[in-house]
Amino acid sequence: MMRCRSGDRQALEALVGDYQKPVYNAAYRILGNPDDAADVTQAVFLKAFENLDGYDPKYKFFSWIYRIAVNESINQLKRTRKQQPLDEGEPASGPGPDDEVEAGNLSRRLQDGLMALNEDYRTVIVLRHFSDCSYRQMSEILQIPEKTVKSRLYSARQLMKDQLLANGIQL
Amino acid sequence: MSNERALELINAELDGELDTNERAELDSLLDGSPDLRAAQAELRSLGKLLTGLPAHEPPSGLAERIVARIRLPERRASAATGFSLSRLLAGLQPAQAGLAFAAGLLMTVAVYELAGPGGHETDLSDMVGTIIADPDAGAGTPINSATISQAGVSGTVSLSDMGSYLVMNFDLEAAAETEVVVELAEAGLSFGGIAHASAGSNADTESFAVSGGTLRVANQGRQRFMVFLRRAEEPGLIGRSIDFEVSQAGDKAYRGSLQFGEEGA
Repeated sequence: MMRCRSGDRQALEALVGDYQKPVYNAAYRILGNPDDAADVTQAVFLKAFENLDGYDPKYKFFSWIYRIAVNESINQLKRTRKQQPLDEGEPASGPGPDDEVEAGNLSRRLQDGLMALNEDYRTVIVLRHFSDCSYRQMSEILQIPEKTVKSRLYSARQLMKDQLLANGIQL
Repeated sequence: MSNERALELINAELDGELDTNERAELDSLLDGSPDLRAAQAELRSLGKLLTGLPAHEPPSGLAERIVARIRLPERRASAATGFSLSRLLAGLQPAQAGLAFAAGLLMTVAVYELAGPGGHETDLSDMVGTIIADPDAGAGTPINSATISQAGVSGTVSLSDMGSYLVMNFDLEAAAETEVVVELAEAGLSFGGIAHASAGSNADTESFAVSGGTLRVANQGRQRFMVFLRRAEEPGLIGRSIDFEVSQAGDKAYRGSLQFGEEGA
Protein backbone atom coordinates (compact mmCIF):
# COMPACT_ATOMS: atom_id res chain seq x y z
CA MET A 1 0.00 0.00 0.00
CA MET A 2 2.84 2.33 0.90
CA ARG A 3 4.50 1.50 -2.40
CA CYS A 4 1.30 2.24 -4.30
CA ARG A 5 1.05 5.55 -2.49
CA SER A 6 4.52 6.42 -3.67
CA GLY A 7 3.54 5.73 -7.28
CA ASP A 8 4.73 2.14 -7.73
CA ARG A 9 2.58 0.71 -10.53
CA GLN A 10 3.86 -2.85 -10.07
CA ALA A 11 2.71 -2.75 -6.47
CA LEU A 12 -0.68 -1.55 -7.68
CA GLU A 13 -0.97 -4.44 -10.14
CA ALA A 14 -0.08 -6.92 -7.41
CA LEU A 15 -2.60 -5.40 -5.02
CA VAL A 16 -5.44 -5.43 -7.55
CA GLY A 17 -4.47 -8.97 -8.57
CA ASP A 18 -4.65 -10.16 -4.97
CA TYR A 19 -7.90 -8.48 -4.03
CA GLN A 20 -10.04 -8.34 -7.16
CA LYS A 21 -11.42 -11.87 -6.74
CA PRO A 22 -12.46 -11.61 -3.07
CA VAL A 23 -13.93 -8.16 -3.66
CA TYR A 24 -15.77 -9.35 -6.77
CA ASN A 25 -17.18 -12.38 -4.96
CA ALA A 26 -18.37 -10.40 -1.98
CA ALA A 27 -20.07 -7.91 -4.30
CA TYR A 28 -21.53 -10.75 -6.37
CA ARG A 29 -23.15 -12.35 -3.35
CA ILE A 30 -24.51 -9.08 -2.01
CA LEU A 31 -25.79 -7.88 -5.38
CA GLY A 32 -26.77 -11.19 -6.94
CA ASN A 33 -25.67 -10.01 -10.34
CA PRO A 34 -22.32 -10.59 -12.07
CA ASP A 35 -22.37 -7.42 -14.17
CA ASP A 36 -23.16 -5.21 -11.21
CA ALA A 37 -20.48 -7.04 -9.21
CA ALA A 38 -17.88 -6.27 -11.90
CA ASP A 39 -18.92 -2.59 -11.95
CA VAL A 40 -18.75 -2.41 -8.18
CA THR A 41 -15.35 -4.12 -8.08
CA GLN A 42 -13.98 -1.51 -10.44
CA ALA A 43 -15.58 1.29 -8.45
CA VAL A 44 -14.14 -0.11 -5.21
CA PHE A 45 -10.56 0.08 -6.40
CA LEU A 46 -10.99 3.46 -8.02
CA LYS A 47 -12.51 4.82 -4.86
CA ALA A 48 -9.82 3.24 -2.70
CA PHE A 49 -7.05 4.88 -4.66
CA GLU A 50 -8.84 8.21 -4.90
CA ASN A 51 -9.09 8.23 -1.13
CA LEU A 52 -5.74 6.87 -0.06
CA ASP A 53 -5.53 9.60 2.55
CA GLY A 54 -8.49 7.99 4.24
CA TYR A 55 -6.61 4.75 4.72
CA ASP A 56 -5.77 4.24 8.38
CA PRO A 57 -2.78 1.89 8.75
CA LYS A 58 -4.09 0.70 12.11
CA TYR A 59 -6.59 -1.31 10.08
CA LYS A 60 -5.56 -3.96 7.64
CA PHE A 61 -5.90 -3.12 3.97
CA PHE A 62 -8.21 -6.13 3.77
CA SER A 63 -10.69 -4.50 6.16
CA TRP A 64 -10.48 -1.17 4.42
CA ILE A 65 -11.11 -2.52 0.92
CA TYR A 66 -13.96 -4.72 2.15
CA ARG A 67 -15.56 -1.77 3.86
CA ILE A 68 -15.54 0.12 0.57
CA ALA A 69 -16.84 -3.01 -1.22
CA VAL A 70 -19.78 -3.40 1.16
CA ASN A 71 -20.66 0.29 0.97
CA GLU A 72 -20.42 0.36 -2.81
CA SER A 73 -22.51 -2.79 -3.12
CA ILE A 74 -25.23 -1.35 -0.93
CA ASN A 75 -25.15 1.92 -2.85
CA GLN A 76 -25.47 -0.05 -6.07
CA LEU A 77 -28.46 -1.93 -4.67
CA LYS A 78 -30.09 1.34 -3.78
CA ARG A 79 -29.37 2.80 -7.19
CA THR A 80 -30.71 -0.04 -9.23
CA ARG A 81 -33.30 -1.21 -6.71
CA LYS A 82 -32.59 -4.67 -7.94
CA GLN A 83 -33.65 -7.35 -5.56
CA GLN A 84 -33.94 -10.02 -8.16
CA PRO A 85 -32.50 -13.51 -7.95
CA LEU A 86 -29.06 -14.12 -9.33
CA ASP A 87 -28.83 -15.64 -12.78
CA GLU A 88 -26.40 -18.06 -11.26
CA GLY A 89 -25.96 -20.94 -13.63
CA GLU A 90 -25.22 -19.87 -17.13
CA PRO A 91 -26.20 -22.86 -19.21
CA ALA A 92 -23.24 -24.82 -20.38
CA SER A 93 -22.81 -25.50 -24.06
CA GLY A 94 -24.52 -28.82 -23.59
CA PRO A 95 -26.60 -30.43 -20.90
CA GLY A 96 -24.47 -31.23 -17.88
CA PRO A 97 -24.60 -34.27 -15.68
CA ASP A 98 -27.57 -34.44 -13.35
CA ASP A 99 -25.54 -33.64 -10.27
CA GLU A 100 -24.17 -30.48 -11.90
CA VAL A 101 -27.67 -29.35 -12.78
CA GLU A 102 -28.76 -30.12 -9.26
CA ALA A 103 -25.81 -28.25 -7.83
CA GLY A 104 -26.65 -25.27 -10.06
CA ASN A 105 -30.25 -25.32 -8.86
CA LEU A 106 -29.17 -25.51 -5.25
CA SER A 107 -26.73 -22.69 -5.77
CA ARG A 108 -29.46 -20.56 -7.34
CA ARG A 109 -31.88 -21.30 -4.54
CA LEU A 110 -29.29 -20.47 -1.90
CA GLN A 111 -28.59 -17.18 -3.63
CA ASP A 112 -32.35 -16.56 -3.77
CA GLY A 113 -32.44 -17.17 -0.03
CA LEU A 114 -29.64 -14.66 0.44
CA MET A 115 -31.37 -12.06 -1.70
CA ALA A 116 -34.51 -12.42 0.39
CA LEU A 117 -32.61 -11.16 3.44
CA ASN A 118 -32.28 -7.45 4.08
CA GLU A 119 -28.93 -5.85 3.29
CA ASP A 120 -27.62 -5.91 6.85
CA TYR A 121 -28.29 -9.59 7.29
CA ARG A 122 -27.09 -10.50 3.81
CA THR A 123 -23.85 -8.63 4.34
CA VAL A 124 -22.90 -10.48 7.51
CA ILE A 125 -23.69 -13.83 5.90
CA VAL A 126 -21.54 -12.92 2.90
CA LEU A 127 -18.62 -11.69 5.01
CA ARG A 128 -18.74 -14.72 7.25
CA HIS A 129 -19.41 -17.53 4.80
CA PHE A 130 -17.93 -16.27 1.54
CA SER A 131 -15.17 -13.99 2.74
CA ASP A 132 -14.32 -16.03 5.85
CA CYS A 133 -14.21 -13.00 8.13
CA SER A 134 -14.04 -13.27 11.90
CA TYR A 135 -16.37 -11.30 14.18
CA ARG A 136 -13.56 -8.84 14.77
CA GLN A 137 -12.91 -8.34 11.08
CA MET A 138 -16.62 -7.89 10.40
CA SER A 139 -16.77 -5.39 13.22
CA GLU A 140 -13.94 -3.41 11.60
CA ILE A 141 -15.41 -3.64 8.12
CA LEU A 142 -18.94 -2.70 9.10
CA GLN A 143 -17.85 -0.41 11.91
CA ILE A 144 -20.31 -1.93 14.34
CA PRO A 145 -19.61 -3.65 17.68
CA GLU A 146 -18.81 -7.38 17.65
CA LYS A 147 -21.90 -7.94 19.73
CA THR A 148 -24.00 -6.51 16.91
CA VAL A 149 -22.18 -8.69 14.39
CA LYS A 150 -23.08 -11.78 16.45
CA SER A 151 -26.67 -10.80 16.84
CA ARG A 152 -27.07 -9.99 13.13
CA LEU A 153 -25.53 -13.30 12.14
CA TYR A 154 -27.80 -15.14 14.55
CA SER A 155 -30.93 -13.52 13.12
CA ALA A 156 -29.76 -13.80 9.52
CA ARG A 157 -29.18 -17.53 9.87
CA GLN A 158 -32.52 -18.12 11.51
CA LEU A 159 -34.29 -16.25 8.70
CA MET A 160 -32.31 -17.96 6.00
CA LYS A 161 -32.84 -21.39 7.53
CA ASP A 162 -36.59 -20.82 7.68
CA GLN A 163 -36.61 -19.50 4.13
CA LEU A 164 -34.72 -22.51 2.76
CA LEU A 165 -36.86 -25.00 4.67
CA ALA A 166 -39.99 -23.27 3.35
CA ASN A 167 -38.59 -23.64 -0.16
CA GLY A 168 -38.06 -27.34 0.30
CA ILE A 169 -34.32 -27.39 0.87
CA GLN A 170 -33.53 -30.02 3.47
CA LEU A 171 -30.91 -29.02 5.97
CA MET B 1 -30.63 -21.58 30.62
CA SER B 2 -32.67 -20.43 27.66
CA ASN B 3 -32.74 -21.90 24.19
CA GLU B 4 -31.70 -18.51 22.93
CA ARG B 5 -28.45 -18.74 24.84
CA ALA B 6 -27.87 -22.22 23.45
CA LEU B 7 -28.51 -21.02 19.89
CA GLU B 8 -26.13 -18.14 20.48
CA LEU B 9 -23.46 -20.61 21.49
CA ILE B 10 -24.23 -22.88 18.53
CA ASN B 11 -23.79 -19.91 16.20
CA ALA B 12 -20.50 -18.99 17.86
CA GLU B 13 -19.38 -22.60 17.51
CA LEU B 14 -20.20 -22.52 13.82
CA ASP B 15 -18.07 -19.39 13.49
CA GLY B 16 -15.14 -20.84 15.41
CA GLU B 17 -15.55 -18.17 18.08
CA LEU B 18 -16.25 -20.28 21.18
CA ASP B 19 -13.87 -20.00 24.08
CA THR B 20 -13.18 -22.91 26.44
CA ASN B 21 -15.83 -21.99 28.98
CA GLU B 22 -18.46 -21.47 26.31
CA ARG B 23 -17.51 -24.81 24.75
CA ALA B 24 -18.14 -26.53 28.06
CA GLU B 25 -21.39 -24.64 28.51
CA LEU B 26 -22.62 -25.63 25.05
CA ASP B 27 -21.67 -29.28 25.53
CA SER B 28 -23.60 -29.35 28.74
CA LEU B 29 -26.67 -27.79 27.11
CA LEU B 30 -26.54 -30.15 24.15
CA ASP B 31 -26.22 -33.20 26.40
CA GLY B 32 -29.75 -33.06 27.65
CA SER B 33 -31.53 -31.75 24.59
CA PRO B 34 -32.20 -33.60 21.34
CA ASP B 35 -33.95 -30.45 20.05
CA LEU B 36 -30.82 -28.38 20.52
CA ARG B 37 -28.73 -31.05 18.82
CA ALA B 38 -31.13 -30.96 15.88
CA ALA B 39 -30.86 -27.16 15.75
CA GLN B 40 -27.08 -27.49 15.86
CA ALA B 41 -27.16 -29.96 12.96
CA GLU B 42 -29.38 -27.63 10.91
CA LEU B 43 -27.15 -24.63 11.43
CA ARG B 44 -24.06 -26.66 10.62
CA SER B 45 -25.73 -27.87 7.46
CA LEU B 46 -26.66 -24.31 6.48
CA GLY B 47 -23.08 -23.23 7.09
CA LYS B 48 -21.74 -26.05 4.92
CA LEU B 49 -24.15 -25.25 2.10
CA LEU B 50 -23.16 -21.58 2.08
CA THR B 51 -19.44 -22.17 2.45
CA GLY B 52 -19.63 -24.85 -0.23
CA LEU B 53 -20.86 -22.44 -2.89
CA PRO B 54 -18.13 -21.96 -5.44
CA ALA B 55 -16.22 -18.71 -5.77
CA HIS B 56 -16.71 -16.98 -9.09
CA GLU B 57 -13.93 -15.84 -11.35
CA PRO B 58 -14.03 -12.12 -12.08
CA PRO B 59 -14.59 -11.29 -15.75
CA SER B 60 -11.52 -11.63 -17.89
CA GLY B 61 -9.50 -8.43 -18.12
CA LEU B 62 -11.20 -6.78 -15.13
CA ALA B 63 -7.93 -6.34 -13.20
CA GLU B 64 -6.24 -4.80 -16.23
CA ARG B 65 -9.12 -2.40 -16.77
CA ILE B 66 -8.99 -1.37 -13.12
CA VAL B 67 -5.24 -0.82 -13.13
CA ALA B 68 -5.48 1.19 -16.35
CA ARG B 69 -8.02 3.54 -14.81
CA ILE B 70 -6.14 4.22 -11.60
CA ARG B 71 -3.88 7.25 -11.60
CA LEU B 72 -1.10 6.84 -9.11
CA PRO B 73 0.73 9.80 -7.64
CA GLU B 74 4.01 10.70 -9.28
CA ARG B 75 6.97 9.04 -7.69
CA ARG B 76 7.58 11.09 -4.61
CA ALA B 77 10.52 13.48 -4.71
CA SER B 78 11.30 13.63 -1.06
CA ALA B 79 14.47 15.65 -1.34
CA ALA B 80 12.54 18.87 -1.52
CA THR B 81 11.62 18.42 2.08
CA GLY B 82 14.36 15.93 2.73
CA PHE B 83 17.16 15.32 5.06
CA SER B 84 20.02 17.72 5.12
CA LEU B 85 23.22 18.01 7.02
CA SER B 86 22.26 21.38 8.45
CA ARG B 87 19.03 19.94 9.79
CA LEU B 88 20.84 16.96 11.25
CA LEU B 89 23.32 19.16 13.03
CA ALA B 90 20.62 21.58 14.09
CA GLY B 91 18.87 18.68 15.74
CA LEU B 92 21.85 17.95 17.92
CA GLN B 93 22.28 20.11 20.97
CA PRO B 94 25.28 22.45 20.61
CA ALA B 95 26.78 20.95 23.73
CA GLN B 96 26.48 17.50 22.26
CA ALA B 97 28.11 18.51 19.01
CA GLY B 98 30.79 20.33 20.99
CA LEU B 99 31.38 17.24 23.08
CA ALA B 100 31.92 15.22 19.97
CA PHE B 101 34.50 17.65 18.71
CA ALA B 102 36.12 17.98 22.10
CA ALA B 103 36.47 14.24 22.29
CA GLY B 104 38.49 14.48 19.14
CA LEU B 105 36.14 12.42 17.06
CA LEU B 106 36.78 12.69 13.40
CA MET B 107 33.53 13.99 12.01
CA THR B 108 33.11 12.91 8.47
CA VAL B 109 29.65 13.48 7.23
CA ALA B 110 27.87 11.90 4.36
CA VAL B 111 24.19 12.51 3.98
CA TYR B 112 22.22 10.39 1.59
CA GLU B 113 18.99 11.65 0.25
CA LEU B 114 16.32 9.46 -1.21
CA ALA B 115 15.63 11.67 -4.17
CA GLY B 116 17.42 14.45 -5.90
CA PRO B 117 15.90 17.84 -6.60
CA GLY B 118 14.80 16.62 -10.00
CA GLY B 119 12.74 13.91 -8.40
CA HIS B 120 15.06 11.08 -9.45
CA GLU B 121 15.31 8.40 -6.86
CA THR B 122 18.83 7.67 -5.79
CA ASP B 123 19.63 4.00 -5.70
CA LEU B 124 21.09 3.54 -2.28
CA SER B 125 21.74 -0.14 -2.68
CA ASP B 126 25.29 -0.99 -1.81
CA MET B 127 26.16 2.58 -0.94
CA VAL B 128 28.70 2.64 1.82
CA GLY B 129 29.44 5.61 3.97
CA THR B 130 29.65 7.05 7.39
CA ILE B 131 28.52 10.07 9.24
CA ILE B 132 30.50 10.53 12.35
CA ALA B 133 28.71 11.95 15.32
CA ASP B 134 28.82 11.22 18.99
CA PRO B 135 26.36 8.47 19.78
CA ASP B 136 27.03 8.92 23.49
CA ALA B 137 25.53 12.34 23.26
CA GLY B 138 22.43 10.99 21.58
CA ALA B 139 19.97 13.09 19.65
CA GLY B 140 16.39 14.13 20.25
CA THR B 141 13.94 13.11 22.93
CA PRO B 142 14.18 9.46 24.06
CA ILE B 143 11.06 7.43 23.25
CA ASN B 144 11.81 3.78 23.76
CA SER B 145 14.63 1.27 23.94
CA ALA B 146 15.36 -2.45 23.78
CA THR B 147 18.14 -4.40 25.42
CA ILE B 148 19.73 -7.28 23.55
CA SER B 149 21.43 -9.98 25.51
CA GLN B 150 22.01 -12.97 23.29
CA ALA B 151 24.93 -15.30 22.79
CA GLY B 152 27.20 -13.52 20.37
CA VAL B 153 25.50 -10.16 20.42
CA SER B 154 24.49 -7.75 23.15
CA GLY B 155 23.77 -4.09 23.65
CA THR B 156 20.95 -1.61 23.28
CA VAL B 157 18.81 -0.15 20.54
CA SER B 158 17.01 3.05 21.44
CA LEU B 159 14.64 5.35 19.63
CA SER B 160 14.50 9.13 19.90
CA ASP B 161 12.26 11.80 18.45
CA MET B 162 13.75 14.70 16.51
CA GLY B 163 10.56 16.23 15.19
CA SER B 164 10.38 15.33 11.51
CA TYR B 165 12.77 12.46 12.14
CA LEU B 166 13.08 9.49 14.40
CA VAL B 167 16.57 8.38 15.35
CA MET B 168 17.50 4.77 16.10
CA ASN B 169 20.63 4.53 18.24
CA PHE B 170 22.45 1.22 18.01
CA ASP B 171 25.13 0.32 20.51
CA LEU B 172 25.99 -3.34 19.98
CA GLU B 173 28.86 -5.65 20.72
CA ALA B 174 29.08 -8.64 18.44
CA ALA B 175 31.60 -11.43 18.22
CA ALA B 176 30.95 -12.20 14.58
CA GLU B 177 29.69 -10.25 11.60
CA THR B 178 26.23 -8.99 12.31
CA GLU B 179 23.47 -7.72 10.08
CA VAL B 180 20.87 -5.34 11.41
CA VAL B 181 17.68 -5.12 9.35
CA VAL B 182 15.19 -2.32 9.96
CA GLU B 183 11.77 -2.36 8.30
CA LEU B 184 11.21 1.25 7.35
CA ALA B 185 8.34 1.17 4.89
CA GLU B 186 6.01 -0.82 7.12
CA ALA B 187 6.44 1.83 9.78
CA GLY B 188 5.71 4.63 7.33
CA LEU B 189 9.31 5.85 7.54
CA SER B 190 12.03 6.43 5.00
CA PHE B 191 15.77 6.49 5.26
CA GLY B 192 17.29 9.87 6.02
CA GLY B 193 20.87 9.16 6.92
CA ILE B 194 23.24 7.17 9.06
CA ALA B 195 25.90 8.26 11.51
CA HIS B 196 28.62 5.89 12.50
CA ALA B 197 30.98 6.41 15.39
CA SER B 198 34.60 5.79 14.63
CA ALA B 199 36.10 6.61 18.02
CA GLY B 200 35.39 3.94 20.61
CA SER B 201 34.31 1.60 17.90
CA ASN B 202 36.32 -1.19 16.42
CA ALA B 203 33.87 -2.09 13.73
CA ASP B 204 35.60 -4.12 11.08
CA THR B 205 33.05 -3.59 8.39
CA GLU B 206 30.76 -0.70 7.87
CA SER B 207 28.25 -0.99 5.13
CA PHE B 208 24.64 -0.27 4.67
CA ALA B 209 22.05 -0.63 1.96
CA VAL B 210 18.51 0.60 1.57
CA SER B 211 16.28 -1.32 -0.73
CA GLY B 212 12.56 -1.98 -0.92
CA GLY B 213 11.85 -0.06 2.26
CA THR B 214 14.35 -2.09 4.27
CA LEU B 215 17.65 -0.87 5.71
CA ARG B 216 20.47 -3.35 6.22
CA VAL B 217 23.59 -2.51 8.18
CA ALA B 218 26.45 -5.00 8.37
CA ASN B 219 29.07 -4.65 11.04
CA GLN B 220 31.36 -6.55 13.33
CA GLY B 221 32.74 -5.89 16.79
CA ARG B 222 31.61 -2.80 18.68
CA GLN B 223 28.94 -1.08 16.66
CA ARG B 224 27.69 2.36 17.49
CA PHE B 225 25.60 4.08 14.90
CA MET B 226 22.51 6.21 14.54
CA VAL B 227 19.96 5.82 11.79
CA PHE B 228 17.87 8.86 10.91
CA LEU B 229 14.37 8.03 9.74
CA ARG B 230 12.13 10.49 8.02
CA ARG B 231 8.45 10.40 8.89
CA ALA B 232 5.92 10.01 6.07
CA GLU B 233 4.56 13.27 4.73
CA GLU B 234 0.98 12.09 5.24
CA PRO B 235 0.19 11.53 8.93
CA GLY B 236 -2.18 8.68 8.00
CA LEU B 237 0.73 6.68 6.60
CA ILE B 238 2.81 6.77 9.75
CA GLY B 239 2.86 3.52 11.68
CA ARG B 240 3.08 2.94 15.40
CA SER B 241 6.19 0.83 15.73
CA ILE B 242 9.37 -0.04 13.93
CA ASP B 243 10.52 -3.66 13.63
CA PHE B 244 14.15 -4.67 13.47
CA GLU B 245 16.17 -7.85 13.47
CA VAL B 246 19.75 -8.66 14.34
CA SER B 247 21.23 -11.67 12.54
CA GLN B 248 24.52 -13.46 12.74
CA ALA B 249 25.66 -15.77 9.97
CA GLY B 250 22.17 -15.70 8.56
CA ASP B 251 20.53 -16.79 11.82
CA LYS B 252 18.15 -14.46 13.62
CA ALA B 253 19.73 -13.54 16.94
CA TYR B 254 17.16 -10.98 18.02
CA ARG B 255 13.90 -9.61 16.75
CA GLY B 256 12.50 -6.46 18.33
CA SER B 257 9.97 -3.74 17.88
CA LEU B 258 10.15 -0.20 19.19
CA GLN B 259 6.87 1.63 19.69
CA PHE B 260 6.77 5.27 18.72
CA GLY B 261 3.07 6.08 18.30
CA GLU B 262 -0.09 5.90 20.31
CA GLU B 263 -2.69 3.22 19.67
CA GLY B 264 -5.18 4.67 17.25
CA ALA B 265 -2.98 7.68 16.55
